[in-house]
Amino acid sequence: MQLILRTVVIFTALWLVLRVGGKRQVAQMDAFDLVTVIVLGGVVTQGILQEDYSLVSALVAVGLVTFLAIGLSLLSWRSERLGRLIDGQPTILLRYGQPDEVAMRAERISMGNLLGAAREHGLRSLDEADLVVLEPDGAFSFFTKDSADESDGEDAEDHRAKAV
Amino acid sequence: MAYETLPEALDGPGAIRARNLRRIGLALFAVPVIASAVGTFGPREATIGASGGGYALSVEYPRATRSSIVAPFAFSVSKTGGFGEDPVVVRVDRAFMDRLDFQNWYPVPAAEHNDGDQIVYEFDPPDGEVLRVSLDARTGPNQGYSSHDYEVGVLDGETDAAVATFHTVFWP
Repeated sequence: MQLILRTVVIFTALWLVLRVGGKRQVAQMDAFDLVTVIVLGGVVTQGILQEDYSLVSALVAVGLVTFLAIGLSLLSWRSERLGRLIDGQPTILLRYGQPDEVAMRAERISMGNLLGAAREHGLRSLDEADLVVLEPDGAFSFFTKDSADESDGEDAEDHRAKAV
Repeated sequence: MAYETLPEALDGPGAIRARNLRRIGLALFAVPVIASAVGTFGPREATIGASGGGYALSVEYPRATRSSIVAPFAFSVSKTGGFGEDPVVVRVDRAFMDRLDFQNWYPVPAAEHNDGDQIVYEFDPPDGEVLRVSLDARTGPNQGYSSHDYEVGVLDGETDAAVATFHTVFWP
């Protein structure tokens, strides 16, 4: 029972770390963040298993962490409000080609990070971006002006078709 | 030759089949979690007693334990009128002791020797009528599963005066 309690407490603490750490912590890891995650892994193992090196305890901990993760995803799926609390919300970092510096500061995303993400999406300039969203999982979503124009065009064609 | 990058998508029945397989997998994971919650893997302890030949023996033993965790093991031997000058001689199954990784006895035995499948300990007689002995032990690492009966006995000369039989399950 002690093992179960320790696993639940550590899992909750880890979820809290990821939530308060922000989206940047999740996917935009630099070398130091990677070291932090590795250290965290060791500390967490000690916290859960302590001096218990048995096979059954490892199985119990793995099983319980799996169930807790599934439980969180079920809660998030059932309730939009809980989903926002559990997973977080996307943040708009750039709109109509203009970076939102307040949002970027809040998410600890530097201009270098944004430019790097733009390069990864095949953009030569931020002017090509219409909208950039930092997703709750730390990934960047880019909407280019071309796609916005195409979308507008399709909407216009739909309207024309409906009018006909 | 052109390589298609799109994966083969699951259709409705295929998706349900995949979900059912996931559920079976989750149920398998649930088994150790539930077993742990109800204390199957220990540590659980119990006490058993036996008497005979003027001796009373009480043994506190691990009913279920697993690798590397504390394994409570203690016993008390009492004799009406006290033990006099004679040492208290207790035998324990060697198979049980081999599964423990122990630091020390409290009190430390005055002598011990192997007697085949048994380890025989001799303790100095206590002042009163009761000798209480505890073992600071953990279950040894790298254990496989086992579920066996073990014996602790008080010897009077060469023969058993009181023997307590207990059952311990060792989990890996």
